[in-house]
Amino acid sequence: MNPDYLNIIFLMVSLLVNILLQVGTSRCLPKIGLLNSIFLGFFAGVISLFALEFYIFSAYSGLLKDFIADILINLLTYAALGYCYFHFINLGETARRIRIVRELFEAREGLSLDEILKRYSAEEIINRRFVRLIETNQVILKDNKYFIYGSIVLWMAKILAFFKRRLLNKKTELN
Amino acid sequence: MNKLVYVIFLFILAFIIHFIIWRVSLPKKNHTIGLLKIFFGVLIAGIFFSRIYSSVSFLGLSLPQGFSEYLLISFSYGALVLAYIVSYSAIEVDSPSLLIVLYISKAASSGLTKEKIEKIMTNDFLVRPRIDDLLRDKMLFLDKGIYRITPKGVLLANIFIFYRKLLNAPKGG
Repeated sequence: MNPDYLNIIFLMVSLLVNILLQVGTSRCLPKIGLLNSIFLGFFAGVISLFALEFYIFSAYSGLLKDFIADILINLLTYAALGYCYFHFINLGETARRIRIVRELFEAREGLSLDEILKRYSAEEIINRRFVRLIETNQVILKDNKYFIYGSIVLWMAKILAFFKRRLLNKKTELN
Repeated sequence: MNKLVYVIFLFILAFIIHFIIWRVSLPKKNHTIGLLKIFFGVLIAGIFFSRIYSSVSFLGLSLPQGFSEYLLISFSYGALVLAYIVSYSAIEVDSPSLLIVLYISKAASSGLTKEKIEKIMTNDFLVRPRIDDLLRDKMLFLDKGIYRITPKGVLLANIFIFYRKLLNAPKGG
């Protein structure tokens, strides 16, 4: 078979390894946490990708430079697909729209605005975010005040704010 | 290496075109459709270019050739575009966590109480715009003051309910 077709098949196999391991650890080892299960799945996929690429290299006795070139393009593709999968899980975990749709799905008769807000309010949204930010050491609570502790989420926020300013010519909603 | 370089080149080219169009005239409606048109338009043009100028090479790199190379390029490029589009939603709509962090960072060494954040991030700020988005996207409809879910909304809810059950995860939000 043409190595290019094999590359596509192996990319999909690696993504499948990622998903299966992530779901498996999330179900069987809940103590490791959702984020760690995502990392574990991602790295298992990287290892399987390397192993499968090595198979192409040895089976087709290709040149080392072709092997490196294939590995690089496939790693880039796999990283993009892995990121999309992470984003999909994150949507279920944090997206407000998904939570509202779920609440309305459970209340088949529909809900008024007040009823929606009783089930899912700004207060709950803020509390959940603070718990996550503290658990991931991005923010600390001291004397009833919150302070920045980690820099990852802050940098993400700054990068997205930069793109919003440059691309959409808009500032963040807090401005 | 030519495939990798060509994928990155096409992606950067499409991003520059998207950036210029967005700066000149920001689409009023669905941004995702606009992004898909630009990014996949560039991919199609790139493959045509590669077929027509098959003998062209630059810095020792030749253009990709043959159906299998075009397929691999399209697959890789498609994955990059998908990753960009999912990130773009975070540029369009501010995430509450990121806003909280930005707000705390502005307060710097004096810190910030939760009450201050709650004053700004109210239901009108955090919940109502998302309900309006769902109405606009036809996931919900409003019937005599009651919000009801549409078949499209049911499908979306089912996907996430199934996956959250699969992960043994509680209700998110």
